[in-house]
Amino acid sequence: MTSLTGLVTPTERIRAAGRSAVRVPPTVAIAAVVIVIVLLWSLVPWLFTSYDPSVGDTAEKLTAPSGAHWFGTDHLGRDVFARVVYGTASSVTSALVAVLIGLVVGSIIGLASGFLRGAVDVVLGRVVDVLLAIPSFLLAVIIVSSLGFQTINAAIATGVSAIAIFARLMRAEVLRARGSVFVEASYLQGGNRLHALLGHVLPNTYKSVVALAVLQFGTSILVIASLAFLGYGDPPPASDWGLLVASGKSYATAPWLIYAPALVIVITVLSVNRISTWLRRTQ
Amino acid sequence: MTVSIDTMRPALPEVVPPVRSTGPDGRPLLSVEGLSVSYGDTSVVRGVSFSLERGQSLALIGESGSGKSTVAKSILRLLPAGESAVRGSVSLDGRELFGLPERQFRPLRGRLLGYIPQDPSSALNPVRTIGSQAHEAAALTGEPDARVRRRDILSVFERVGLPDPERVYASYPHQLSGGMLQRVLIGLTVLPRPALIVADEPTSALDVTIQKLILDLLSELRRDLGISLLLITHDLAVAAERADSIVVLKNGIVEESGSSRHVFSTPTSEYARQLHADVPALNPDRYRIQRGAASGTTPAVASAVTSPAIEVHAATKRFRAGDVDVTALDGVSFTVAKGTTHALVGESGSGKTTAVRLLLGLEQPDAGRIEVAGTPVHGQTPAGLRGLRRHLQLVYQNPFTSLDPTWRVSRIVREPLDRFRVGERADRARLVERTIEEVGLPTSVLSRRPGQLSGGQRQRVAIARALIVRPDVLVLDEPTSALDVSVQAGILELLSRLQREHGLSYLLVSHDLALVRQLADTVTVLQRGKVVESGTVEQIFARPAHEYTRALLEAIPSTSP
Repeated sequence: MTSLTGLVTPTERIRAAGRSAVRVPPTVAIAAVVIVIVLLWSLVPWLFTSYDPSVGDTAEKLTAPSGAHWFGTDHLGRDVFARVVYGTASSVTSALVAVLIGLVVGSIIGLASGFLRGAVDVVLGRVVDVLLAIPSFLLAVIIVSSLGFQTINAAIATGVSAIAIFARLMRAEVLRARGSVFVEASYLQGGNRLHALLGHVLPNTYKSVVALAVLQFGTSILVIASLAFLGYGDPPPASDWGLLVASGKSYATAPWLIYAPALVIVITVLSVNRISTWLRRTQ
Repeated sequence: MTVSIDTMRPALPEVVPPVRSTGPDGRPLLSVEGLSVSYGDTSVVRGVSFSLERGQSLALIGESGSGKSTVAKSILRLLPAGESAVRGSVSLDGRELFGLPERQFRPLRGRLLGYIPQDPSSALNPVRTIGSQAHEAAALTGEPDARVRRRDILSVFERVGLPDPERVYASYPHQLSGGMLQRVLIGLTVLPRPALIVADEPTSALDVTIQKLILDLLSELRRDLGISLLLITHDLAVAAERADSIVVLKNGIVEESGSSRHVFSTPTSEYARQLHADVPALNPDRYRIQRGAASGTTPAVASAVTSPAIEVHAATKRFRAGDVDVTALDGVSFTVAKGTTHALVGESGSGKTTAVRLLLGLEQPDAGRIEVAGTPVHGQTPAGLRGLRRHLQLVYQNPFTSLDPTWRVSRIVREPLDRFRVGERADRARLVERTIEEVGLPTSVLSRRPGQLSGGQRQRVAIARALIVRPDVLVLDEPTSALDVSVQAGILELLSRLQREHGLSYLLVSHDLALVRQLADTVTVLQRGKVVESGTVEQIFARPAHEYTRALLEAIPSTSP
């Protein structure tokens, strides 16, 4: 290992020093750990629980949380922790799909209206106004109703309702960047509008958009869980987090059926928000 | 369009050296001893000591990062608490300021100790009238009657040379020019009759002719009201002209101190000598000698027979601002001979920036003709304009905004090569390295981003970017006004060398006549969009024909303290 340190160039050493100089607050570290666990749940759920999420032992139905069943069991004796862990993949993936739709479509709209201005800006601006005027949850409900009751449709609906926010932010950032002196300098150096857009405007806007995307990821988990709670997602035996809360509400004697998945949702969303805030501040 | 009245005021009488006088007890008014300031592990000011007598003025000079502003802030106790560690002693009027509880220090601010900030436009609240903010300063006099306070404010406005004090009183900050705002702030500072005024680069945000008037006003008030002045500046010429004594700071250490006459005429430290050599006003022929030695003859004469590099003929440009047409440029003509430097001189609003934008094809003229090396700039196809720009490059005023912060230096310098498809791909990296070395930077900067470079280094990168396609003409838009005097000297040195080596033609845009005298061969003076005078540098400086040119010339700090 000693030979490796000798190979590090001075610039790399400076960069490494710069990286360690960024202090990570403890709450951000905790949030990051939470996110990593949630991501692992969605990728390799079988490593975290030995129970099958869809097979229960009816003799053990509605038992309270214990060492054997961390989050207790439901009315069919299925382990709630296992159901939460196995439901993560669907919840996280749909949130990612939602963010991706909002990010890509919203950014393109914002980029086009901010960079081209004129008629394009006016038309796209009014479309965004219409999107903003309809409450996003209502819009999502309408979209799911017309596309069909599936989690993926709920994700698309959530994504569409987020387009307006991304478009607005992107437009503002593009306007700021395209007015910069270095963009004008790029024209003088023989660059055309495409060079300016891809080379200078985009790299100078993505940072704040990425921070919004992270924030929107947390919101999407919440919106999709709400849609699932109302029955706008995949039907049981799927175990989306929102669906778990919804099916738990029928058993007043077993409050953990609601609290355990709800707690997971709350902790995940709070962690995502904390990281987003930190990203925005440390830019 | 706001027309500043400052330019119309006659110059104030010359400053009479004040009579040396100490306080009643013979102690100096301000005495700083062994002042050291550090932020964390970095020490910014180390063992600085100086004293200022009553009614005298002292200039604290040095480049940015020398700690001069930190010294001022520690005297005013404006350093961020908790982040900075201060040692030493500062006593004002016999009172030790450090260790004084905030409750006892607050009454001294304003009444004993006044402060004039660098940028007057950011020092006033934009949503309140001047008058309502003036009452805050007037309240320091302890006068209970608001009507009397109002009368005091109006009379002090008159005293600092503001016309129509009633109108100023009722105005909002954005309705006044920068020079008028600085007069307001000076008026409010002297209103409570402090014993000491700390002025932190009080004119660096103002136009040249106004700078002189503001400095004249400060000298006059100091003489008439017996106020001491601690002037913080980076300009040795200004310090020598305005202060009785000078303290030269470098890296937080006093390099030299003494009377202005002494420091100025016989500097003992190497650094003070360097500063002296770097000030354009004091060394008018610094680069001329080099250039003359290279060509053996005056370039303007030598190349007068060949075709000009730039020809601007009767260019006119109007802008619509609301309902009124503003003529930014009114029938302006000038030519730049090949291999020479032509300077476009004027204050903000004179149209010099518009002229540059027309020349580069960034704006369309309403009338007139502009040619670069015989090719018209306007009426070109985009491809034609692109081809033209290959031979015509611009160095922007502010290197902090002209370089993309997300790009590395190697990519920034390489961009024109890629866009204009110059040379083979493999050769471009080598050319980038060579150009970076040519502008005096180590090749290690290539992997850095602009944020990791100093202002001077950034401007060198900007020059390398403009130079790499080997243009014939370089337009320099106030290339050093965002930089320190000593950094400026390095950049000017570089520009002068590059011109000699590559036979470049420069169009230099500047408001600083001292700099123009150093670098330019011919000059065009612009005022409100019109050419008021043009000719060779020698003609203009020896026999200015127009009153406005004379006002600009007077703004150069005089070299005989």
